[in-house]
Amino acid sequence: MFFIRIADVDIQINNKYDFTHRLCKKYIIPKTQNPSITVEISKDELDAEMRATNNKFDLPYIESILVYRKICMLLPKLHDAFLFHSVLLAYSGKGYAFAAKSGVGKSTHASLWKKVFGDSVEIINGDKPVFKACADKIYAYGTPWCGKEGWNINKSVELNGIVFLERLTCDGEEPSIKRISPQESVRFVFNQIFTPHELEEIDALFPLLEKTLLSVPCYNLKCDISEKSAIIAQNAIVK
Amino acid sequence: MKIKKGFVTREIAGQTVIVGLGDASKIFGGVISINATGKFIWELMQNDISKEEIISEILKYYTGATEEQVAKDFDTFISVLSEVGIIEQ
Repeated sequence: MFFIRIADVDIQINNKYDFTHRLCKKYIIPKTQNPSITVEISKDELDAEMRATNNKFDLPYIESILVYRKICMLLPKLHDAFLFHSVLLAYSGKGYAFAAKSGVGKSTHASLWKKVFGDSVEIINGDKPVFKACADKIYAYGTPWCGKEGWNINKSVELNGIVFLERLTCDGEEPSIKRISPQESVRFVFNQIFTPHELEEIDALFPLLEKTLLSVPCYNLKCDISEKSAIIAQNAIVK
Repeated sequence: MKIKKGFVTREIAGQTVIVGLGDASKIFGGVISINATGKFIWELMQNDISKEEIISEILKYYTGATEEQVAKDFDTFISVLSEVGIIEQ
């Protein structure tokens, strides 16, 4: 058993495997009497997920994934927070999220930012940051769950932009970026979250998604792996 | 034809989306965005109704629309929903 704090929420994890503990090491806090969330994955849940993923992963890894899934299901209604599958980076201290379906190249794009803009860029989370609504702002938080690159820093930033990436589709097309309305952003958002299927959870999460889209500028970037993609994105989104 | 039980609509930032609840999410676990006409058809299809009746209702409501255009929009809408299996014939 150990305790972590993510998105300012204290969580008790009753783990069976040390892998989950090691994964969370940067987020561990001393034992607290009143954790807001307590998570434990049963043997049955582990076995069910093992079958669902065709024995592709081992039990320690599956436990770590299920722990996060449980936490993320509870965050909206308990803490106005939610998982947003994306790369979260800070540019001069302000937060920007790069979101896309798996395989489009959000990690590659974030690496380009690092290469082009150097120390102005800090990659806070490579895959699964948490967003949290607080008054009229959205803050984004690092979490232990961060994708295969292992990019993960335990800090938070105010979210100043969300960029939905798509690959350029035909040869000779130049990278481009445009601001999109909150309404246009809706169709992209559902690729980036765990969609709940219980009314109570839907009605906790959807207002948070709406608030995010209404308070944070959203963009659609059509990109390739050239530095130009990072430069035009930076020009458009950093104010 | 009608919409299967267990699917609801929600508004997010002016956009209507469809999402499945509980067991219905095993039929379709994703989210579909629909436009205003789609929402109108969706409401009608909460009860069993024929294509002809739906088109006639739309023409009553959207007075400027032609029957040909409405029939085309209807077919598009139905094909998307049928593909994911949430319509009961």
